[in-house]
Amino acid sequence: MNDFLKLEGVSMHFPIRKFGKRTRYVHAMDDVSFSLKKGEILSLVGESGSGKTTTARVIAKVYTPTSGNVFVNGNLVSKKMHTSKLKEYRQRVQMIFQDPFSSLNPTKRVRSILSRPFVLYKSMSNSKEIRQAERDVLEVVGLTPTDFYLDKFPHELSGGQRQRVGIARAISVEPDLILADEPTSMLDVSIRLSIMNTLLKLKEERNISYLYITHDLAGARYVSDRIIVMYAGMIMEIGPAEELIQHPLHPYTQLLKRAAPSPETGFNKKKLGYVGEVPSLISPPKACRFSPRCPFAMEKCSKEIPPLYEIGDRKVRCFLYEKSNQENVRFDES
Amino acid sequence: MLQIKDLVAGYEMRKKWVAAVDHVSLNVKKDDFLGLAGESGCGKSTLAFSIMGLLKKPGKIKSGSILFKGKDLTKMNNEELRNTRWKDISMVFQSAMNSLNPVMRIGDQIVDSILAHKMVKKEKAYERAKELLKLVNISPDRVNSYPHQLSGGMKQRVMIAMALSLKPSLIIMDEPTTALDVVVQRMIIEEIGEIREKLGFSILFITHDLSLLVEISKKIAIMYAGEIVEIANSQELYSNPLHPYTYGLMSSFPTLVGPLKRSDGIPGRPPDLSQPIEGCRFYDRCSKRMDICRKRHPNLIDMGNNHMVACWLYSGDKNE
Ligand SMILES: Nc1ncnc2c1ncn2[C@@H]1O[C@H](COP(=O)(O)OP(=O)(O)OP(=O)(O)O)[C@@H](O)[C@H]1O
Ligand SMILES: Nc1ncnc2c1ncn2[C@@H]1O[C@H](COP(=O)(O)OP(=O)(O)OP(=O)(O)O)[C@@H](O)[C@H]1O
Ligand SMILES: [Mg+2]
Ligand SMILES: [Mg+2]
Repeated sequence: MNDFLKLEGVSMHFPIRKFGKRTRYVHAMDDVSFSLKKGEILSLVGESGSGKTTTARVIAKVYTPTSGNVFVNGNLVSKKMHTSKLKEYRQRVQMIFQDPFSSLNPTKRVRSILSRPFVLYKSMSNSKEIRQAERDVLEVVGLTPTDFYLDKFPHELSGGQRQRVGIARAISVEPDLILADEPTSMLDVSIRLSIMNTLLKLKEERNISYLYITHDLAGARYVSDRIIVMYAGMIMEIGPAEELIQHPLHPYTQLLKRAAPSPETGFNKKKLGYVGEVPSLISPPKACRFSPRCPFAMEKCSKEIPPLYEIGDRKVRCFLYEKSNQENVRFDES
Repeated sequence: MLQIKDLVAGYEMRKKWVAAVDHVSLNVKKDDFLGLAGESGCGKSTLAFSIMGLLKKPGKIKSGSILFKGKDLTKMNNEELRNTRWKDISMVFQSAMNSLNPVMRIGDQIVDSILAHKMVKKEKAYERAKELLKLVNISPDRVNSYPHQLSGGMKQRVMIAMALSLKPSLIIMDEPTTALDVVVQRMIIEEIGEIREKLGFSILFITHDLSLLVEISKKIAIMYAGEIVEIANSQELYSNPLHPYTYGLMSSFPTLVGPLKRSDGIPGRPPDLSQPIEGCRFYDRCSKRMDICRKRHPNLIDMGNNHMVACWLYSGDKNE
């Protein structure tokens, strides 16, 4: 039993009201289950709007899920928590937010943004000690000269510089789990690589676990042990990183791989062309959510939601992999 | 169409000058798709803001000119600028996820931006708003959503839709797709490519996603510490990077195929832009540095084949 985090059938539905009409719901997460081991990096990739940020926010206790349970260290994370308990939880589970332009307090200098976690969670009070800790953590994310950046306000920083302040803030309290929501999207490839190496180092040295949300498939391959693929609020596929990338099972994962830029395999790739209708998450029908776009869609796919089929250490939500179909398992088309 | 000449822009800090854009010259022709990449904090957004005339205090354009269709944007008064901005040149901000009005429905925001610049009926503008949302792959039943009800990537797409709404002749996109999955990203870029061919506008596309950039843009400019250090056609730049910094970038992205190897990227840190630097700005980190590089600043030279580079390795007069 070394699962650090476990989600069991978690759903998150947001109500949307329209004047004079009955309430409808956006199904941001439906029946999401997965677990994360201590010291594991689990990447979450998938469609924009498929519920990745929502998943991270449910785990961070920003949202209370509509149904389902979240366990940390084997204990159920209760819906209501005492302030003291919540504080402890927030120290153990840190989030790096997707938008660096809205997640840093604009009235505070970097110095005071970074000192907060040290004071709050590590009970530091000696200002010299705090300053040194701040310098160390800025050094780790490559914002040097550190004293120069400690004095800045967020609006005086570039997008990537803000992102690194966010990363510094999250790693400073030495949490057990980091929910990193596209932490490196605004960093150049070289700094991105060094941040990914830092995350790997922290994982190895301090056994930190990560839920790493990204759109960069090659980056996911580089850092993670396993990858989850989400589409329209549901998990479509889970598996060991390298296997999943080299042999994607789900038709959506195959599409993702085909669309990923990879100049090393040659230029002037075929155009992607029309890939079907956009899924609507408002009251979705009982069907495979990918079926309207799926090149292999069968009759069944528009009538039932496929379960997650287990194939070895992988799982895939697609009727192609139903027992009776498993002999003609389809591998990567490309 | 757009001619930037010797532009110097930056930020005036307590007695210090942060040279975010230093003597940058760049041309964007009609129908061009120019990519701009470079290290984080090297001045890409500052350059974009300068073109839009949106560089706010303490930011300042010190010298140089930005000619757009023959007129100097840096010399325009507010009135003229307002008429050019959005209608002729539009921009998708890097902070797109945070730039929508939080208390207004997204449909209304797109409609407002259309109505502010064009004389059309409101119903017509609504139709157009829905069309635009579809174009960026958002299901039109979301027109009544508020920004907080959208995911990060959906907000970015709304901003792209707004930038397209007035059919400008130049669109500056500052990291417009950071929150988009590769499928949607590719669909939108192909879509934009098609409208671009139909309407004929130019794009300045700023991104860190080099592997994407080499595939989608015609030409790429690489910026380092406030300067353009290399410009070339995309494929040429990918297969034959000349500047050691570009070379470092090209070998720093992880790949989808081949063996998985850990690598360290380019060693060292970018220089402090608030300190004057005499020689080449990449000197401290360069594996091929020579004596001259520390003393004298390299200028962009033409290597033929539309390939320009600022590096002493390629300059005939290095022994001078
Ligand atoms: N507070 C909210 N109220 C209503 N709908 C919401 C809310 N938050 C998110 N949603 C909806 O839930 C869905 C999932 O959003 P989420 O932010 O989790 O997506 P994501 O996978 O992080 O996407 P991206 O990659 O674009 O950031 C979207 O359709 C979004 O519009
Ligand atoms: N308002 C400001 N005051 C002082 N310095 C600033 C201000 N805005 C930006 N800077 C500095 O100017 C430099 C260039 O910033 P800019 O935002 O142009 O970078 P960028 O190339 O867009 O980076 P990124 O890729 O991270 O977005 C940075 O070092 C930044 O710290
Ligand atoms: Mg998100
Ligand atoms: Mg920027």
